[in-house]
Amino acid sequence: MTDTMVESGPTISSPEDLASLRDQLAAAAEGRRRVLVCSTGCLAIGAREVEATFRSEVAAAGLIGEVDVVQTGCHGLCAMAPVAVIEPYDIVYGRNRVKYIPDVISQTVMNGDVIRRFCYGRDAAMAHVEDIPFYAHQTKRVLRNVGRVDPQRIDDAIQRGVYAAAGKALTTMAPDEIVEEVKASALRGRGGGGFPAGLKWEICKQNPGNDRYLICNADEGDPGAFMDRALLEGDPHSVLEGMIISAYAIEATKGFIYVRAEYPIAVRHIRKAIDEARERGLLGDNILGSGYSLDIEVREGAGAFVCGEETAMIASLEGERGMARPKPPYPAVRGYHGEPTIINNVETFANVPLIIDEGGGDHRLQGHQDLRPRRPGQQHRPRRGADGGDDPRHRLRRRRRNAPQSRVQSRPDGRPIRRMCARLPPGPPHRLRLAQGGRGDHGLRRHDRDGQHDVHRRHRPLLHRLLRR
Amino acid sequence: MTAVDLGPARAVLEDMAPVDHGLAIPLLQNIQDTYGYLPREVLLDLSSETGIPASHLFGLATFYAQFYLEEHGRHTVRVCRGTACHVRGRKIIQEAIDDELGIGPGETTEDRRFSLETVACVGTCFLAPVVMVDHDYFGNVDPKKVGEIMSGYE
Repeated sequence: MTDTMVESGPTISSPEDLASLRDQLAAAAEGRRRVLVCSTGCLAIGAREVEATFRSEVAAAGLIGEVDVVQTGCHGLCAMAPVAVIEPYDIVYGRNRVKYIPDVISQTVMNGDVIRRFCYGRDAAMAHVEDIPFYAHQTKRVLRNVGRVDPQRIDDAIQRGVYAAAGKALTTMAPDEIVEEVKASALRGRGGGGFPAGLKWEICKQNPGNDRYLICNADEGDPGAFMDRALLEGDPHSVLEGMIISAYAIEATKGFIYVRAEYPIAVRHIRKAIDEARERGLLGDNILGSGYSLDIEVREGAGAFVCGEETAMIASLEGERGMARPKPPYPAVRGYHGEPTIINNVETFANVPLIIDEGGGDHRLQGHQDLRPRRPGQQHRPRRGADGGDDPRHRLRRRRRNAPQSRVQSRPDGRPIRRMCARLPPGPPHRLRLAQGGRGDHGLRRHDRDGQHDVHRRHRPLLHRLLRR
Repeated sequence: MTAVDLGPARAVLEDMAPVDHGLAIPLLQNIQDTYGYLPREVLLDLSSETGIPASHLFGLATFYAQFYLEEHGRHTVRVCRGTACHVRGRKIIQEAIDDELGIGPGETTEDRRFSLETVACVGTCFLAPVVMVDHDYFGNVDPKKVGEIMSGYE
């Protein structure tokens, strides 16, 4: 499929249309054989050839129509790149090589037989998703669709239930009710600042303005951080859905997504997602027959790190040099063109549909209430490292030895880092020495004795400063 | 300096119309996609066409790292200098590129084939050290692989 072409499909004009389309798609997809090839991070290590070979070999074996080869987002096991997941068996293969693909198709895709050499830890007992400790100990929430959908096909997203929460929010809930739910969920900003999202929205709504704006901050640039990238590349429709609900909640008239130009795949996927959503009536005028209209525009950053800061980002969107200004007034009070503006992180928006689905109170329970009351919800974060190659011939390899594995994983917030890192592949025992958080407020630090992982550990600026104009 | 053809710039402008102050950055991005850099004559022309002060356009062009006011190589090699790539040896990679192409960061080869830049983080830390050539990623780069990667671009 080409990147620019938008497939036409039925226009969706009500939540009922959406539900029936979803049922149809789900029935059609039941028990399909699919090869899900990571086509984002793994591209750096040959995923394009792997995917193309799967396609050509499927065609050569006369299996078109029986086996779908799908480009997906990140499966998380980046150390095993290029990674492919084979449905309906949920077998995970890493280190895929072009020359073995005919074997993979004939044995695994068609018969479900496991080939040991591609398995996690080269162990046939860890062929299936549920057998791999790395996956078994995760609870994927905002990442639930990443790696399972073709990010460039809106039908895949709809089949997985994306946009259902938007339908519910826009047709059955008042904007203030949504703000209340988000407040009840105690969702805090995922960009690193950790400001309560619901409170920010409420402040925005208390301020009079001709227009309100919504901005999605996708200028992710903290060293070692790539969760926003994983989401935008792997499941852009969930981010859009979150933005639609949020925009409705604050009654915004226009949305922006500010993505860094260094993320070309993310830019391409989100643009495509917007075009498709618009084509299907999920974005634009009268979304899902609710009477609410919203358009979202993608803006690419121009290589200024500082533009990830919200006031600098607004300056950049206004066509200025990206220079930050003192706060207050915060953007929720005076933002884009002087109007009340909400800026939230990609992952914050991706949490919003879950809150609508489950209700704020239940969402709150996903965090670790017993540890710290105002930090619920889930955080997914990159953990980095590499294969433990032990070859002394090369300076690079020696540097890599200390980092046993690379991956993106997802756990409820409050999980001790030690436990997140505890499950490593077979090999010499490792001791955790250092944890680099994927967020701006972590920095590089030694992990403390109890290995507590707490994103919002530091003292935050006092809330009342925001309320002062 | 040889005269620059303003035609493509006008076409970009027409495509994006109406262009106001707020769209100045996307405008410069499109112009750079067209010309490979931001020629001075084009910026002056855009200023008179759109009414955006030339000083503002030059201000943007010099503020944002993505913009070049001088002619650039046909391909841009970006070496990641993020933390992960740094600890996993991007300096060695950069030396290998210097050996191969004879250019350091911010420089362009004499035949205008490559320009080298360093970037803060391309968000592919799990495959560090990472090199990008135009929009293609190369992960786990080894100094020995540098020549092979570069040979793929003319």
